[in-house]
Amino acid sequence: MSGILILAEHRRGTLRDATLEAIGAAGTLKAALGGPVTVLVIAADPAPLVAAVSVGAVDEVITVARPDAATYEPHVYEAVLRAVIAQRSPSLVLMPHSVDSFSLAPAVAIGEGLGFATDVFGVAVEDGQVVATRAGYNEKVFVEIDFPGRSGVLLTLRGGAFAPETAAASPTVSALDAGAGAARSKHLDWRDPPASGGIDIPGSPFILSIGRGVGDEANVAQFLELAEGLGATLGCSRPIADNGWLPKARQVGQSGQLAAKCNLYIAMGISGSVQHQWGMKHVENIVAINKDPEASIFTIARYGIVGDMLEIAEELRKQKGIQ
Amino acid sequence: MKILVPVKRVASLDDEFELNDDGRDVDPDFCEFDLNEFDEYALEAAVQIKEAAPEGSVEVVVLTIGPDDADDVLRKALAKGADRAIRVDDAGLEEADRVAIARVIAKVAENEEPGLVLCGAQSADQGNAQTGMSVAALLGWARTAVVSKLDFTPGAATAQVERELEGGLVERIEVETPAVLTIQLGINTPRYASLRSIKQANAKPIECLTPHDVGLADAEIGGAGALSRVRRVFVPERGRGEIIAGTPSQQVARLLEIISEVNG
Amino acid sequence: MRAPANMAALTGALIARGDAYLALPAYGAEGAEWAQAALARLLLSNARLKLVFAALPFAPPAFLALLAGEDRPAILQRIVRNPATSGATLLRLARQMDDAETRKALAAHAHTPAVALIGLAMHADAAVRAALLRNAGTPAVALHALLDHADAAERAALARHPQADADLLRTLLAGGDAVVRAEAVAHPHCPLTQVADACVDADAAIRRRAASNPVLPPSLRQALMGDPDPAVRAEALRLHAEGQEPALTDDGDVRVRRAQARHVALPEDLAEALSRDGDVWVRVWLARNPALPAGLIQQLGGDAEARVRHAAGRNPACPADVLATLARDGDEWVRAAVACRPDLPVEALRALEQEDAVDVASAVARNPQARDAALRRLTRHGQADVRRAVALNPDAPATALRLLLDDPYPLNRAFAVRHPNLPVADAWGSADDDAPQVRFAVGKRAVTHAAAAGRAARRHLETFPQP
Ligand SMILES: Cc1cc2nc3c(=O)[nH]c(=O)nc-3n(C[C@H](O)[C@H](O)[C@H](O)COP(=O)(O)OP(=O)(O)OC[C@H]3O[C@@H](n4cnc5c(N)ncnc54)[C@H](O)[C@@H]3O)c2cc1C
Repeated sequence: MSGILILAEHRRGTLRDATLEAIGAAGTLKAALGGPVTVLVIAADPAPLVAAVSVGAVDEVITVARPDAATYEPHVYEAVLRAVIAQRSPSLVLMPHSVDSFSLAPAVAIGEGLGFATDVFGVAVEDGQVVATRAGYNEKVFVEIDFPGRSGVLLTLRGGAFAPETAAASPTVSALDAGAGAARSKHLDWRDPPASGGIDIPGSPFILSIGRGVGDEANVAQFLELAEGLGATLGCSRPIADNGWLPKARQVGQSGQLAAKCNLYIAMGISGSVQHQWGMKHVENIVAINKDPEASIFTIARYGIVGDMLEIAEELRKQKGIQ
Repeated sequence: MKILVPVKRVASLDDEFELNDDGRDVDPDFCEFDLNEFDEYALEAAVQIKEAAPEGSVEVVVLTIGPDDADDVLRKALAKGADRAIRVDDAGLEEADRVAIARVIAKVAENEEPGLVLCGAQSADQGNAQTGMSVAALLGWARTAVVSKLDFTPGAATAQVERELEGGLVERIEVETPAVLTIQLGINTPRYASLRSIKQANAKPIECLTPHDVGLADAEIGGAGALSRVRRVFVPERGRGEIIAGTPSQQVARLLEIISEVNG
Repeated sequence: MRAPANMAALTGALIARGDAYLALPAYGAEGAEWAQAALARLLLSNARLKLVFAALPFAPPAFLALLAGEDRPAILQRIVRNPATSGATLLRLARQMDDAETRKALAAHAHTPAVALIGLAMHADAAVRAALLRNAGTPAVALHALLDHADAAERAALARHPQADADLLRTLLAGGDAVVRAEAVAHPHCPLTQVADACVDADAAIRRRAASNPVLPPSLRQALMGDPDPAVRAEALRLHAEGQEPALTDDGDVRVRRAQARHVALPEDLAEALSRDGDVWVRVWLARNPALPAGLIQQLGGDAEARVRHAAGRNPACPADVLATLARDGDEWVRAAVACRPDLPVEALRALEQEDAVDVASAVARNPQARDAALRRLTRHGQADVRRAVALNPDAPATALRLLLDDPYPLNRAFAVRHPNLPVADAWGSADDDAPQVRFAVGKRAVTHAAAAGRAARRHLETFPQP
């Protein structure tokens, strides 16, 4: 029982960054857990991916070439991964917490009797035992999980939680003929996300959003003006759309739009209801502007301003020379 | 044909809350409970298959594992078109993790022999994304996770599905049945239950079973069937982000700095 | 099932039903005093509900006072933060709890009595000081107490506080850096001589803030409108000096033109010029300006930019024929702008009543002139928001509101229950609704009704004294 095994995730010929994050995590745990760090690449033709995973603490790359692995297929991957685990008995198996892993990790953990936790953003080794940390109750608490009686543990790692490893390394590379197993689903085709037009909340990288704090319909136009001046798309909470002050297409949240591509979200006069958060909570840079310091929006904001949104808006216009 | 839809009663926490004395979970007094949103989509998908099939040929069975309070979510599911409801009481399942819960569901599936099991992609409260796919593994059935479109005619040997991947990319695939699929938000528009159907649902019986009743052995129940254990729950030290102090003009100067930092 | 019409019968019925949400509005209601103890037992029967009710902003203050007798700190903390909690309850809790969180919440609460705020100001930590500075009710005495140890940011906040008096502002101006001075000269209580000085300050930021002082005398305002800095000129324009028509003239700066476009005392030739401005926002502001002559509103109603046409459609002075034209606009958002207006010509409204597009349909649903049949149709619209707009229509007929009682969406049912045009008897029919918020609304409706009936009966007795 030793070593760390990482399953490489790739799609349409490209390694996914999340795999480099898993390698980064393995690098920090290697000393405490002992044994080699091994990356498993399953593909129709794994060779072109080997260089990309030969980074950081990786000691060994195992490639498994199978024609039925031209695209990800959970039952094929399950058979291969279980065969490798049975052979190597790693103390830790890592993969990204990704859509592909959703359909793979449980089957592998159950099949091999591994300790199992998903969406993990913290891993520690205490007395040789793995302890994982994840969030619960919609991120309101953190949960520490241990795996009594399990000699191997499988974790799926939250994206962005571990620093990716990119420094080149020179692991040994070996090809393995692993796993029986057959595909039980068949790839038909890919469909790229549609391009969007008009008011585009889902596609906008920068959204300035207003809520009921705007007070009056007469104040709304100045925010359209302000958003334009800042190069942002104007969004809003539901009451603003309900009042007919802005079109429904600008509403962010559960019954509106998801700010899918947003990197900067400025919420002005929005209290931060769960339904609104549904559409924007994931955004990396949230700025909350609210006159109530207790407003829940501040609990998810990276930056907060306690103040009057109209005054802040006015000041923004002045400093940006919008008016 | 039956379609089994396992549903979860999820908790959302109040803004402030307290932990249980053992520090391993939140005090339920601070929880608001409701049917898992993802499961609403799974249920709707099942009901739509039923409605497209000849009358009476498909039965939608909902299942939850929980205390008697969890009957509420089953009634909601009945009001939204499920035909039958089963609750497996969670006494003795205190130490269960998602895999141990999946063992219960898989046993019920073995007994009910559905043609399809539709689960939510994950739960809104814990977001493990484990239960549905664990059920598939335990049954040894074909599986697909995060399904955003589903075409299935009862009796067909395969289902055509789309799975939604990171960044909005979609993969179209064909999967063998019987299968376990986990359903993504937005696959359909879940119906609201009308007041009348709610009242009818309140009159329907709920079959109540124990883990032993469904055929689980002691070695599979609760902590014994789990692959993990919660050691401790804690409230993270979370600075509430950077509070930008000062007068509006100072605050705005900083805000403009942030805008240009982020937008590059 | 009829709603009990008098408070005694109603309270009895509420208690008999045993539903805390339905009964909550009765606690402390006039005429329900006799049943207070039984109501209390019902309302305090469940640990979860006590926590929920403690944070409910529409809980009756009398019930929050009762709940304040509980021991659980989490409940008490929620009561202190609840905006509905009365000053008396807050005072009581202030005497009993002395943790930092409670002090902060008390310092921030709009109902905390002045004496308590003054007490808090005497030995306040940073969080309490910040809360006091944000609380518009903090009295001047307390502000003076905070002045002693105030850092630069706090001094600026003091200078902005609505209760800051002339004395405080004078002190702040004397010792203040530019930021504090800028705040103080914008304050309506700032001594006028100091404001006048600020108007000729070398620092444009100070002049700009002086220009935003709401009690700036017209002569000073006029002077600032000739300021070399466009931001100062724009600011001086923003506030309207009643009866004082400032001499507005062409200005090369777009900021000034945008501010001018909003000004109600805009000379006609300037308005004319602005209506052809190349900057779309100048035209948007102008099109919304209620003082604009009809001819110009009409012209802007034909603007190439939909935003400008929308603004014209929202202008309260928009003439009927322009509204009718905008109602046929190719842009949905422009049609939506006029669809909710009660002054929209009837034929135009009838045409819009046929539309299903969300923004237009929800605007029609809110229009008090919309036909009953159209509103009934909209209660079946696919979008919950549109259906709810019917419940928000002050003139919605009972026939449409009744349909909303079966709406799948609880919030819509709650709004329908609250609507005064829905007979109480119909509202009472929803007393066993599945959603707590609907049952609360039913309870509230029945209690308000019974209380009004009780008052009417007493008035009747007073007018016709019994022998
Ligand atoms: C099924 C369902 C779906 C929903 N879907 C959505 C959805 O998609 N999107 C959505 O947004 N909501 C949605 N809601 C509604 C949601 O629950 C909230 O009601 C809504 O988000 C509140 O909007 P708000 O924050 O603008 O208003 P409020 O909650 O009223 O908040 C206004 C905020 O503005 C602050 N404020 C007031 N004045 C000022 C000022 N001058 N300066 C600064 N701050 C000020 C206040 O402190 C307050 O925090 C949904 C609800 C349900 C039940």
